[in-house]
Amino acid sequence: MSAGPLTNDATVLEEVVAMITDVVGEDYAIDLDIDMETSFQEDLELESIEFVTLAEKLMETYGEKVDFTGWIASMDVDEIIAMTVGQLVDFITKCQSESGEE
Amino acid sequence: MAVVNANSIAINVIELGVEDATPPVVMLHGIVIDNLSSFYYTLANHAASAHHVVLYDQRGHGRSDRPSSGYSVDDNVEDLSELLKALYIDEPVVLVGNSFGGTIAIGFALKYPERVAGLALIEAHFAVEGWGDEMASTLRRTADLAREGLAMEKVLRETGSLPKEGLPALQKVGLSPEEVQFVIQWIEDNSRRKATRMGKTAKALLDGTTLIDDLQSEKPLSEEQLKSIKCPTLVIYGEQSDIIDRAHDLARCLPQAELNVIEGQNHSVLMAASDKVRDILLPWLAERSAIAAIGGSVKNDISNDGIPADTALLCDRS
Repeated sequence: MSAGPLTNDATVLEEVVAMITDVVGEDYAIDLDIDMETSFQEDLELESIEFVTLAEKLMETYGEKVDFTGWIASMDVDEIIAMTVGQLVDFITKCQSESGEE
Repeated sequence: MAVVNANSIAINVIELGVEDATPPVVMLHGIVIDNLSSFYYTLANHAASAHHVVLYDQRGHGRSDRPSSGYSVDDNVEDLSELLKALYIDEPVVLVGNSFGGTIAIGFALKYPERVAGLALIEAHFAVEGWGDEMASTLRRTADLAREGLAMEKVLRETGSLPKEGLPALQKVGLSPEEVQFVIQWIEDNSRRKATRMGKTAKALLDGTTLIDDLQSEKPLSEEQLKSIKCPTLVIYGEQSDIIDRAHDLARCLPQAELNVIEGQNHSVLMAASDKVRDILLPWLAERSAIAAIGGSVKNDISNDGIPADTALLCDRS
């Protein structure tokens, strides 16, 4: 991955984990060890409405450079449900490096 | 995601897509174990490349308020009406309704025909003779299943094993072995946290509000009422749906109904065959946009030189 100095997976992972914590609540998140392999459904046990809340937070945070709408539209229900944190982080990083900015 | 106050409750809304695309497309989810996420996963993002899409959690669902009363179809119609006003949407909209969302869409089209540019009804329920009692009985049983599920999930958490035969204390409500099996499947299919949260949400709505009683009081729609819905209507049902007769009623009564029956599918067609639903719905939505564009120019024609519009192209708003 040709990520720029400010757009590496570790930074984005940290941001995504903070948003997940915000969605599921600190009390629940504290027991979770979230890394790139963590899946939203199997591991985090996110309800679909929580996943949507997270997606909305991501859109607010990253703006138009990260086309979540188009990305979600490219997947079928089963793929969305099986998504891992790593897939999401990679997608964000890729969009950021393609846009050439942070 | 935004919270909008409308009809005296806080409604959780998501708007996606092209802001000034017309007509706006509003998606209405099903009842109890549902919220805006089902459309978010299946249709909303897909339609957003060309349309202004509005999704919201109906009262008692998702992240909207759960008032203790006011769950009739008309209450839901008024929520939608007030929500559109709060969003400054005053032009006719396309309503896409799944299951009970279709009930609300039909109710809105009957009450506010001039505000509807089209209806897409997926596995839509609407009140026929006996529907109120049938819905009430189904929902009461759903409440029983939610209680059973929560109790069994608690046992699983405490003892590490699932009581496969169900719980004796809950057998007094007379769950059949099939229903106990259904609950077990539900617990096994969903994570523990998710199953618990879904069960609690369902229980809070069914046991803590007047929803069941309100729906039980719904009056059946007459054939005349159905016939009065004259806007373009897309009708999508699963071939094996338990309410497939509704599809034929709609096709027979609504002058502009286009019937689509999806082979091998049942009431869950939106989630189970979302690609097939999209293949039917997206071209139909594109048509609505094209007609809205013509409608706009026709309106100009009227104001400019008094030539009447080609009304065959437009939704009859009489």
